[in-house]
Amino acid sequence: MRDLPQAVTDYIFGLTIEATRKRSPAYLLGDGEGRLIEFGGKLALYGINNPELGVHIDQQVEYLAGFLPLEGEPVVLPCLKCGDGVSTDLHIFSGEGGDWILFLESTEIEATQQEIQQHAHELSLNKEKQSRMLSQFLGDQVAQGLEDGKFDIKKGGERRNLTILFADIRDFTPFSENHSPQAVFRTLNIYIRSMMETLAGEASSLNAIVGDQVMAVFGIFSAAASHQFRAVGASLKMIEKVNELYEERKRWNLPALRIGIGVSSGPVAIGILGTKERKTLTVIGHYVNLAARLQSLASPGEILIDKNTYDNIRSYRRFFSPTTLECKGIVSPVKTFSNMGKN
Amino acid sequence: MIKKKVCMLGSFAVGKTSLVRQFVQGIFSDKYLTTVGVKIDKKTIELAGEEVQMMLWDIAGEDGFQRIQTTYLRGMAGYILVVDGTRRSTLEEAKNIFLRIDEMDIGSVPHVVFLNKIDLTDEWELKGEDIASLNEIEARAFKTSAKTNEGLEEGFLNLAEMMVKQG
Ligand SMILES: Nc1nc2c(ncn2[C@@H]2O[C@H](COP(=O)(O)OP(=O)(O)OP(=O)(O)O)[C@@H](O)[C@H]2O)c(=O)[nH]1
Ligand SMILES: [Mg+2]
Repeated sequence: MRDLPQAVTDYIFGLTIEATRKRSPAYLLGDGEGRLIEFGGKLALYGINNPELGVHIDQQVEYLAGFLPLEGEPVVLPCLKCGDGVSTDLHIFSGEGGDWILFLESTEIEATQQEIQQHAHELSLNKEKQSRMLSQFLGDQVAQGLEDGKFDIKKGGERRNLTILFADIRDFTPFSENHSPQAVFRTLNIYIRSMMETLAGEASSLNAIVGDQVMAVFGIFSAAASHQFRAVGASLKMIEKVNELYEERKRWNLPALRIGIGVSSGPVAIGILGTKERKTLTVIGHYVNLAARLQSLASPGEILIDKNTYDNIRSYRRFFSPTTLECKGIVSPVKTFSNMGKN
Repeated sequence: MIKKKVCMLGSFAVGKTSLVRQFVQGIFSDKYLTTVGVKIDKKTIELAGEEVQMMLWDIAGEDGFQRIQTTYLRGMAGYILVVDGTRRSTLEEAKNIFLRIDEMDIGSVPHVVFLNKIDLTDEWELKGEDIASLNEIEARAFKTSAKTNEGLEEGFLNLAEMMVKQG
């Protein structure tokens, strides 16, 4: 601080001393062999009662064993708690007279830090949980399939005719803002689980859960029925399951939400991304965007499908009727079909 | 009485605080309250007729932002690396902590690994090869549960024995 004027440094020191005084400073002084030769301040606050001069400090404050005599640099032990003592920032430093041990109360600092840390950790735990659930449902299966060469996808990627499904929980964002993170994730887990279980039974290969959204790709595993048929079958089942959940939760007075689904079908680029340990399939293209867009336009309980899908679902056609939508970002008007029969 | 300082180390939320609380007070809570800084507890055990006081330093877990404060480690006679068996990534993190301590040039310090939350069988993620890989860090592993108390006595005693042998 040499480049600051004396008046400024004096002022800063004044601030520091004032702030520090509020933190109930207390101290111990040890001689070259760690025996107590002086003490002062509210030591009882830190759980140190009746200090005895001449006795080794680490016999009186057991946790200091190994710290005294101090050799070299000062040591700081932030937010230390022991017994019934309050949280303290402990500073150990050599100075005039021997080794000084300074106690400064850190209850407030700790409380602030605690709040931030708790929030961050809970958030990370929830994120981890979500991605674990993903691999639990299909990640491993897809990864294994890739390993065994079950799906013959060319290394460099290729174009394939596939069906893409997007489903999300309607009105989840306002819901999540009005409930505790615990409640949000509990509800999210129940819903995502219900959607995923349906998908897993339909030979889809699942790509992602992003927040309150699920994406699935049909047509990678070979199966008897067309991928469009299976995707729409899965959609109808998902809606049915979630509707049951919705009614049930309403009966119990629990937060009840519904989902919207978008399905689209056509040629997309498919490739393998990832490392040796963890491979994932990725799809890119117009039809992926279209499915996502349709999903975003679907009302609660609604399935919106494009014409390519509609043309290939035979007996399921009776559930759908044409609807007109404004599809932002997609140039030509899209023929769309809905299970909710609106025009 | 022999006194030994033991540090509880590992990622956040693996169960360090819960293990100490179960071992010292015999209680467990499902509620997660993250540790800031360090909390020190004591527990006296008997080893071959001799009393050993373990001074347990329950240190804030590592996360994306915060590494272990190394000043806390000074004078430790042993340490426990805690892994959350339901979060596989915490195993790698524990190994990393070992490697960093190994680099600190404080000689070989007795240590054991606790593979914690063994009561959560449905969510258990560790496989045989994961556990075998602990050879890399020269550590014996104990499957523990801070909830049911499984494995705690054995794990802590094993470490105490190693520390006493070390002198
Ligand atoms: N089922 C089960 N839950 C456990 C076990 N051990 C800890 N938990 C839970 O896991 C969460 C985290 O436990 P803590 O003991 O606070 O973890 P920590 O390692 O001290 O975490 P930090 O202080 O943040 O580093 C709490 O919700 C505990 O109830 C266990 O053996 N079984
Ligand atoms: Mg803790």
